[in-house]
Formats: sequence, C-alpha cells, structure tokens
Amino acid sequence: MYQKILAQILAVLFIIGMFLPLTYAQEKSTSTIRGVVFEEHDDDIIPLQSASILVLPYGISSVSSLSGAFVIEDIPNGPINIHVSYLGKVNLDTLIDLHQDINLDLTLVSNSFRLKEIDVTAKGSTKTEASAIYIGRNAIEHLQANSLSDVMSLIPGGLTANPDLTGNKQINIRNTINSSSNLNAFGTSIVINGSPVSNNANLQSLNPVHSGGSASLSGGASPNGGVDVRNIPLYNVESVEIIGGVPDVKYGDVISGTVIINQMAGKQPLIMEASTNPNVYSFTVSKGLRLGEAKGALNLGAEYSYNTNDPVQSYRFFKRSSFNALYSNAWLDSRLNSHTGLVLHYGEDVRRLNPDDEVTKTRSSGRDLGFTLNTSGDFRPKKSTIFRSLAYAGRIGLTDKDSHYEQQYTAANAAYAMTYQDGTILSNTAGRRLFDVDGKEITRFFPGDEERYAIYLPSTYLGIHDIEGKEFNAFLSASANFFNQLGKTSHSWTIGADFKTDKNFGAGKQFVDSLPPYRNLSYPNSTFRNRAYKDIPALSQLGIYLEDNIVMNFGKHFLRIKAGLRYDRFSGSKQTWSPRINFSGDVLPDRLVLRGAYGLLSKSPSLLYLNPEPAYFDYVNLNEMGSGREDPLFMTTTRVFSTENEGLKIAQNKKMEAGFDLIFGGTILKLTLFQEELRNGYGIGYTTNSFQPVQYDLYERVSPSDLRLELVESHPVLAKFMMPHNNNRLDKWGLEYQLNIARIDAIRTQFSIYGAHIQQESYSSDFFYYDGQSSTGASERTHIGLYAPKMTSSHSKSTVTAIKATHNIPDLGFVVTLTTDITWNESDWVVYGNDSIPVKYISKSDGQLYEFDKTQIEEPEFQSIIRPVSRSMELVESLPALVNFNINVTKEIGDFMRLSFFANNMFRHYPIAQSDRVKSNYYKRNIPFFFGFRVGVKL
Amino acid sequence: MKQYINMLRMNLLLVILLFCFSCKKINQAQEVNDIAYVSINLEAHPVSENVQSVAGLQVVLEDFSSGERSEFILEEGVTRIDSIIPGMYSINISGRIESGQETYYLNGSKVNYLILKNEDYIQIDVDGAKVGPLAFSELFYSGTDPFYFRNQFYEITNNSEEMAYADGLYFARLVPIAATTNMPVWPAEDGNTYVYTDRIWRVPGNGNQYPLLPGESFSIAQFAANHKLPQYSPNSPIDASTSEFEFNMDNPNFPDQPAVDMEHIFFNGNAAKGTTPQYLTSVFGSAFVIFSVPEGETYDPVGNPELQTRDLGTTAPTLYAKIPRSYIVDAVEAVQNESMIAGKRIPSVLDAGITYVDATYNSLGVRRRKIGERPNGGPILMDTNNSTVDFERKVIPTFRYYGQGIPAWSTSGN
Repeated sequence: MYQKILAQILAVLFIIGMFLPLTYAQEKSTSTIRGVVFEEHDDDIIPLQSASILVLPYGISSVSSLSGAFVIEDIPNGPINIHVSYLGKVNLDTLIDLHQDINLDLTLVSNSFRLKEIDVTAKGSTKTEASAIYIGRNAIEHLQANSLSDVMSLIPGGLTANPDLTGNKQINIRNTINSSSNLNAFGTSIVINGSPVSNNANLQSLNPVHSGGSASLSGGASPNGGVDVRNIPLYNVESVEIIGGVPDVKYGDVISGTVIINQMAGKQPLIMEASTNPNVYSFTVSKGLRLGEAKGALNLGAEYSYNTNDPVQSYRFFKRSSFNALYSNAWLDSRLNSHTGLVLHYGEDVRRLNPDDEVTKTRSSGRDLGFTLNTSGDFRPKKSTIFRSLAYAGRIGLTDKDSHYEQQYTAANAAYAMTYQDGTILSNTAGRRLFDVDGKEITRFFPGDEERYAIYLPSTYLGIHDIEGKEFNAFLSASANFFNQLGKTSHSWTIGADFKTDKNFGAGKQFVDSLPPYRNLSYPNSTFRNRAYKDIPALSQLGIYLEDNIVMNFGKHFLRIKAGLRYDRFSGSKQTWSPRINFSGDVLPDRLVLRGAYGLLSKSPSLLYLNPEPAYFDYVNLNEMGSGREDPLFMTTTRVFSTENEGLKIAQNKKMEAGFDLIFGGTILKLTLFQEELRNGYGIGYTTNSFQPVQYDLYERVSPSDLRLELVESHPVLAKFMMPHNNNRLDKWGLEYQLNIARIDAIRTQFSIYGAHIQQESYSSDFFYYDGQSSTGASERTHIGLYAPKMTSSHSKSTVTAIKATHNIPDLGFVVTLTTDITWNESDWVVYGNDSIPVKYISKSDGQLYEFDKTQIEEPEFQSIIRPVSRSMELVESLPALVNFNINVTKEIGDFMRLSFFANNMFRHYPIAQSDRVKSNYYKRNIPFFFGFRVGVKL
Repeated sequence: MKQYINMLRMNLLLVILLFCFSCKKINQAQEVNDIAYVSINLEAHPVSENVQSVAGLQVVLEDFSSGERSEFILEEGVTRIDSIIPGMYSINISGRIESGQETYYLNGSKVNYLILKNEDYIQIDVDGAKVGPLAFSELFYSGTDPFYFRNQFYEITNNSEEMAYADGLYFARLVPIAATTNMPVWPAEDGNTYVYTDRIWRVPGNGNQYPLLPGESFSIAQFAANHKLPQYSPNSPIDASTSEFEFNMDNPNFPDQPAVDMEHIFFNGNAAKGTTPQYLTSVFGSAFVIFSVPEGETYDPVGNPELQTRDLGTTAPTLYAKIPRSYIVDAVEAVQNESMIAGKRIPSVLDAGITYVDATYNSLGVRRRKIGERPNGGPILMDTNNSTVDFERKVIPTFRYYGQGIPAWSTSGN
C-alpha cells in the first residue's frame, strides 16, 4: 500500500517538475560555461578532443570538440562540480560557485604512478546520488586484478582475495564474509558500456528439478547465480563503479547491486602486459588509435590467460582469451557521441583425464564462445532548451556454451525407459506386450513408443553428457534528459525505456539412452531425459521509467532529491513498480552532508525458473534381471510431472539507507547505515505441488515358465521433485564506512580505512517438508510432514576493517601499499522455530494437503513424519579477530615500463581457532600465502 | 731418584691396567659368572565382573634384548615364578576362560617391566570379551574391478562345541565406516561401555529357526544375486545367490533375491531403512561386529534414546546407535592397510589387531585361520580376539572354504 502512495507522490512530483516551469516566467538565474580541454604533451599543452564534461549535481554533460572546446548553457547559478574525464587521464573535479558566464581552460594530466595523488584505492563516487564506490585504472593495476571479483576487495566490507581464476567467480554485494550467495549474484547487474550483461538464458545445469539447479555442468556460471566474471578481463577497463545503495531507476533487472564498467575509449599508447602468480599467467596487449581528424578513435585489445586450478593438478585448468574493439567518435560538432564495441571471448574450464583416476575416469570441459556487439551514445541539441540530451545504449550477445562431462559410473544399475510420455509402461524388449492372468494388457504404449523399451543399466558404464546452450541476450535503452528550473529549484529529469530479451537456441541436454547421467539417490525412482532448449520461449522485459533530479539551494546550503519510478513488465504478464529516491543535504556547508535513500529493486526470473524441465520417474514394476534367467523380464512405468510454477512472482528487494559525509580538507569520512528486505527470492525446492501421488505396482510371473503376470503388491507413493519458487527471504542490515585521509606529505603516505558490519538473516517463507524416514522401497514410503514456515532461520554477521597505507615517491614512480585486513568477528547461528511437530501433511495416498492434528502424533502412520530434533546449529559459532597483511608494490621505469608485485598474507599468518560449536574442531584461518608479478611495457 | 721414578712408572702402569679392566662392559646378566636368580609373585586381576577366576591363563615372560623367554600357567590367586634372570621383561597373560555358560578370551600385559628385585609382587589387569560361539570366518568387502561392490558378503561359523542359533544375531559396522584417524567424538559419560554404529541388522527367526551345529556356517550377502551376470560383474569371484541371508534395502533396481532378508533394526534413530540404495560396508574395510542380547535384557536402540547419540565432533544431526561392548560376540577390525592401525575403531579388548587386503576392488578377502578339525570334518577356527593373528589376509573369497557344514535349513545347495 505504502508503495502505491509513494508512487503517487512521485508521479505528482514529476508533473510539477515538467509543467510548472512552462507556466512561470523565469528570472535570469543561469549561466553558461565555455571552455577548452587540454592535455599535457611533451611539456606543452594541446587541445583534447572527446573529453567528457559533466556538471554536477545537475547531471548536464558535454563533450569537447576537435579543438577541445565545449559549451554548456543554462546552468543554474550556485555551487557546481565540473567533472572532466578522458582515457588515461586523471579525472578532474573542479568546484565552482557559478554566478555568471565563465570561460574555463581545463588541463588533464596523464595518469601515472609519478603523480603525487595517485588513486590506488576506492573512493566514494561523485557521479551519482546513490551510495557507490569508484575504482579507477590505477587501483586495478596496482591490485593486479585478474577478474572483476578481485576488485571487490576495495569496497567497504571487502577483504583481500587471491587473484586466481579457479572456479566460477561471481559478484556479491553487501554480504557477510564467507557467505557467497548465488541469489545475491543472480540479482547483481553488471553494466558494461551502458548495457547490462545477462545470465538469464543460462540453462547449463544437468538436472535442476532433482538437484536445485545449482551448479553448472563442467564449470562456468551457475544458472541460478550471476555472470561468471572471469570472462570479463580488466585490461581494457578504465573504471569500475559499484552501487550498493539505491541505484537510478534506469537500472532494471537488479535486486542486489549494480556494477558499472567503463571500457577504455580514446587514444592510448600500445601497452603490453604480462603477469603471473602461482595459478595464473596472462598476456594482454591494447592500443587506442586516433584515426584522424573527425574520424574518431579505435581501441583494440586482446588477452590470454591460463589458470591451473592447483599447481599439483595440472589436468584441471581454465583458460580464456578475448579480443576487444571499441570505436568511438563524435559528430555534429561533438553533439552526437557514440561508442560501438565488438567483443569476442572464449573461456574454457577443463578437467583432462587424470591417468591415476581409474575409478571415475572423469573428464569435463565447460566452454564459452561468444561475441557481443554493444553501442552507446548521446545526442545534445544545438541550442540549449528544456530538452538537453538523448542517450541510448544497446547490446546484442550470443554465447555458445558447450558443457561436456563424462564419468565412469559404478554401482549404476538402474532403470531407464526410453519414453517421454506420462503413463507409458514398457518392457525390456522393444514393442513387447505383457498381460495379466485375465489376458488384460499391462504394458501401455502411446504413439511413438512402439519401438521403445526399458533398459536395466549395467553396474559400470561410462556416462557421457553434453549441454549445448546458445544464449542470446539483447538489450536496448533510450532516455531523454530534460532540464528546467522552478524558482530556485532545478530539475534535471529523465524519461526513458528499455527492453531486454533472453533466449536460448541451444540443442540442450543430450545423452544417448544407454548412457544417462547417474540417478539421484535422494529422489526415489527419479530419472533423466534429454531436453532441447531451442523450444523454450524467450524471456522479455520492458521497462519504463521517470526520474527527477531536484536541486535546491538555500543560501550556502543545498538539498538534492533524486526520485524516480520504474515500471517493468515481464513475460507471463508479470509486472512490478519500483519507486526509488535518494536525497542529500548539507548541514554544514562543505563539511557535513546528510544522505538518505529508499527504493525497491526488482529482478525477473530467468529461463531456469520460468521454464523448468519436467520431472521424470521410472518405476520398476518387474525386475528379473538378477535372477539368472535366460529371458528375464523387466518392466517400468514412466511418470512425467510438470515442474512449472505458474504462481511465480517477481523478486523484490527493499533498500533503505541513511548516512553522512564529513569533509575536512582532503579528508573524507563516509558512513552509511543500510537495511534490506528481500522478498520472493528465487529458488528451486519443494512446494506443496512437488509431491504427486503415484500408485506403485509390483508384478511377478504367474509361474517360472509362464509369461503372464500377476499383481503382487501395490502401494501408494509420492513422486518427489523440486520446483521453482519464491520462498527465499533475506533480511539484512549493516554499517559501511570509508575514511580517506589526505596524503601526509611529510611521510609521503596516504591512509584509507574502510569496512563494514553486516548482519543478515535468511529463511524460507514456505513450509519445511520432511520425509526423512521414507525409504526407497514402495512399501516403506511415508507421508510428507510440513513444518511451520521459518522453522529454521540462518543468521550470520561479520565486522571487517581494511587499513591501507599508500606510500608513494612520485619522482621514482614508486608506490607501495600495505593493506591490513582485520576481521573483528564472524559469527553464524541458526534460530529454530517449531521443529518437532508438523502443522500439515501431504498424504501419500492422494497427494492432498491435510491439517495435522497433534493427537495424531502417536499413531504409527504419522510417527514417521515426526522429525528428530537436533539443534546442533543453535550455538553461535563466533570466530575471534583475524588479521591479514598484504603488500602491493608498483614501480615505473622511465615512461615505458611498469613493474608490479604483490604478496597476500605476506607473513603467512594462519591462526588456529577452536570451534565454539564443536569443541573438537579447529579452523585454520586466513587466505593462503600468495604472490604475483606483472610487467607492463608502453610503446 | 731413579728408584722413585721406576716406582712411579709401575704405579702408572697399574692405574692404566686397572682402568682398562674396570671398563669391561657387562651387557647381559648371563655374562657374569654368578647369576642371582630372582622370584616374582604374579597376580592377574580380572576386570570383567563376569569372570571370577583366571587360573589356567598362559603367562609369557620375554626379555627381547636377551631373547630369554619362558611360559607358565597361572594358578589360582598369586602365582609364584622362580628362577628368573633379572632383566627388562614384557609380561603377557592370555587365554580362554570358561565362566558360567560363556567363554572369554582374556589378555593383559606389562611392557618393559624391570624385574630386579627378588620376591617382587606384580599385579596385572586382564580383560577380554566373550568368545563365540559364533565367529566371522570369512569377510569379503573389497569388491571387484571395475569398481563393483555389491558382491560383499560376511560368513559366520559356529566355532564352538555346542549347537548355536543364528536367530536374533545382530550385525553392524562401526563408525567411522572406513578407518580414519579423524575419529568421532562420543559422549564422555559413556566411558568404555559402548561401540557405535550407524545401522543395525538382525537375523530373523523365532529363536530356534536357524540352528548351527559346530562347524556349520552361513553367510549374509549385500545382494544375494549371481554377481557373475553380465549386467553386474563378470569378474566377480563369487556367486552370492547361495547366501542364506541378504541386506535387502528394497531398492527396485536390485530386486529381492530368494535369500532371507535380514531384519532392519536401526538407522538414524528410526527403524526405517532410508533412501540409501544398498548396505555397503566400506570397500576399504569396516569394523564389523556381531552381537547378541543376553537373556533377560532388552535392546531397543530406536525406542530407547539412551542408546542413541550424535557424533559430538560434528554438527550433523545423524543419530548413531550404541552397542554395549558386553554384547559383542565377535568383532573384526578391517582397515585399508597395515599403517591404518592408528584408525582402529574396535577396542583392543574386543579385537587387539587389524586385518586388511591392501587395496580396493581386488577381489580379495580375509579368512579366519583354521587350527584344527572336528570329527565331522568341520574346522576349528583360531579365535584369540586378535584379527592380525586370527585372519589370513588377501585370500580369494570362497564360501565354506574349510568345508564348513551347511545347516539343514540352508537352501544354498553348497
């Protein structure tokens, strides 16, 4: 209800913002800035084309022309921040109190480690009202990051991680440490050059309805997780911005956080880099070419990395290579700017056959081969009016994924019937019909099944499975930006729309009938079937949004409100409204700024959740295969159940924030208190519909020499499978802080202290389904006991601080950073609700849901659904403080070479902590000692 | 002066000679001309309340450095042993004792005990477990290449002189299922009363349904099928369709065989079998026990929570059953190899040793040694509660290898 009220308030706000300015005459309260952007060049300065000029807090932008000139008209008088940026240059932030038209000459200096102020740590982002972190090129280089996940150590709450490329890497935003969450990563949006990448068409899981859909077969991104960021190399990344707070409404399909990656665009010397660490060696080459006057710039880059998962297991490795081209140009006197990029990438997780692995003979490979076309740009009218710019972005990506897995299965005797049709009863001879004593046919064939039969799989066989996915992702967005004033209130408002579609054209899950995957023992009678993905309909989502960035100045004080409303409509007629607001105002001018935010974020279900595969079961009705007969009979009944959840809702996360910025000279303290409530979180698990009644019949021959059969047993059982659901909930609160102290010139050192305290609780809003005493045999199946929702809730909390001391000697081009990660505490525990008496049960007789009467507890029929109580996780596991010391060194040699070295856990500090929960357990803590070296040559 | 110097030389020579002779080392008591033999008074104290007398047990005194070894038989009360050469001795007491209706195999020892003093009084605790009447005679757990483990079986022989009944005999493997040095943590208050298992089976019967004459045997198979069939494991050394019993887990993929199903008693706090597809004891070797409940006592690990416990070394909620050590009829500690003695799960009072086949899936088993033959041709098997000694290792699995008798009720046809 409150969301609707808020939406209405915001709508009124927009109307006021749009129409009132047209009805009121405006006094002259704006000015024009004209200027030229220069760059340093051989002790001289020359005009710099295509530099980006952004006037904050209004968000009005421009781009320098061929002569470096720019004009921005109708900027409200008052304090403004002019932010100028260009590839390879140090960002220029200039505060101006604007009262009249001015001319500015702005000179950008080249980014290097010979500057006094080097940005090798993260900073609070100045470009957005949302609480966000900005990480520049120097920080990425100094850290020797190999993938996007490595730079997450620079944000509050992050800890140093060893930059290997082992295993799927995904991004979690605002999580307690050591609690990586697929759901969090699934809800994190990664935006490259204005367009989000997508994991929505990923279906590389072998059997989600009987395993929860977690892992991708043979490596790579999990279908229920986030993008595998190992496939996003950082060599051509200019900056990374991470929004943990409430993002602008233009960012859709997100619930956790937004990571914005800006790639290098513009002139750049040829740079070749080589790096190595105990797991990885890597080579990159990149160059930015100016194609001539008015012909724009072309950035080219290529990268190859090879990661050995474990130095003593050379048969397990990951390799990636990518080629990147980005063309940027400006037309219409730099009023139309665009960046158009092509990315080809190849990534492969491989497990070769280990000659010593005679038991499983496992080999696997998970390959990604894809290309992406992306474009973004903006157009500004010649004459400044209320309409200021039109921005657009688009992306088309096609990724061919081939997951191959083979393993020699043992103890694999099981039934596999070749049919896909519910109710088919097959024998072990194609087309053979079996009858009862009355001559009534027991076997049942549907059209197409006549030549099919049931297989009794051998005890040992080599299973070979492939999943071929062809993921197509497309994104298109356009927004118009307007600016006007209402009295002393400035409105920079945006109206826009985006469209996103995800489709999988792959051949899907494939194996031959005689070599299926190993059955899942936890789901009696369950089995596998092939599935083509190209038949699955596309997921589409259309978003429309409105946002107003309101700036009010009161004397020396300001108040900024950025309020917006986003409407999303998804495939399947699902829709959400997402109001978001960020506001800030200063209490003490230039000293103390208070901030607040509120917003709803929505994330669509992916194809995995929208179109789950059916659940297949093969019930063995007759099995003479162990009898030693010459003509043994084997007969199965196949049941097929839809696992689709038609009531699936859209996941939403409510974010709230309050904080302040305290500024003293060059020292800034940012502190943010946040709270989040995730509802309708996706998962694959049990629901009340995932237990379906089946009558399980067992037959025998009438006599050894007679082929006629008689029914000897018949039992009601429940077919058990998993379905997509919305039952995951996550409540979270925390405190983030970041203190960047101005460089102390006397000791040539700059200190940064950042960290976070995060506490979270996760639980299911659905029942807990218990059948722990049910057996494989038909006669010993039980009902399903349903225990009250929130039977258990998992809690965790962590408090971490990172202290960075950056010592640099500009004359030598030398920088050393000592990072001390302190984990003050990490704790987890489980709170138990009613975990001893069910509240309902699903009857195995009819699959219906019934209330459970406590008086039934003594009845033998129901004793089996009374779960044994063991609250072993109730005791808080609390680990003491842990310190980790790391060092990063970078040295520039002349202006042509750069050397970097790092050592993580440099003192090899591995403290032992005793478990509070299990006194006999001890934890060896801290990340493994790790080191690496990188050399870069600039030509 | 010269005389003085000569005297000095003589004295110096004497001192050197004296010094040299005084350095002569005496390594053994026998090396001296006059050995002073000593006597000791040895008393063995039975730990078990069920054992009243230890007379008749064998005492072995052994001085490993000298090789001196002597054997005696314990008398009632204090046994005086004369003419012992002083030295560092290992004193071992072992042997069978009949007490009431039961036979116990007891042992006790003192290692590196210095016997110097005459009339020394030495007390040694002797403890042990019941012997038989039933004993594991052959165990095959390692499986067959390539990685086939459903042909496991456990053969049990009546190794006593009396008729014995298989009815109600319990079978279990102890946890950890495979030997490891990472041992579970059991409740301290249990002391040395129990051993612990995850699952318990019982031979069905009304008490006298499955009699075994001395020297007769029966076997329990994991899956009593012909494992040599192509869909199973043609390389299997045995066809288990002749087994008298099987551990049927009601898995439709492994159809019930003609063999009699063992009764399932306990798993994770319940009588239900759960969804495990088969009863697999580790192919590395498990700690096997068979036990019976003494008359007048009840054993209900499902209904009696006192007989259940979690592994306190984990947070896992899995419930294990406690088996009173006094119930154990036979126990065999099978481990991966000789080095895994550190992972022993069975207390040495029940099985002082280990046995092993050194590899998995090698189609080899372990077999109790034969020490004699009965008038009917049946074997008398070695049972000293020490599987290192009692078992031959790495044998080709064979049912009734020693020609054990086939019980009248058996349908094995062997």
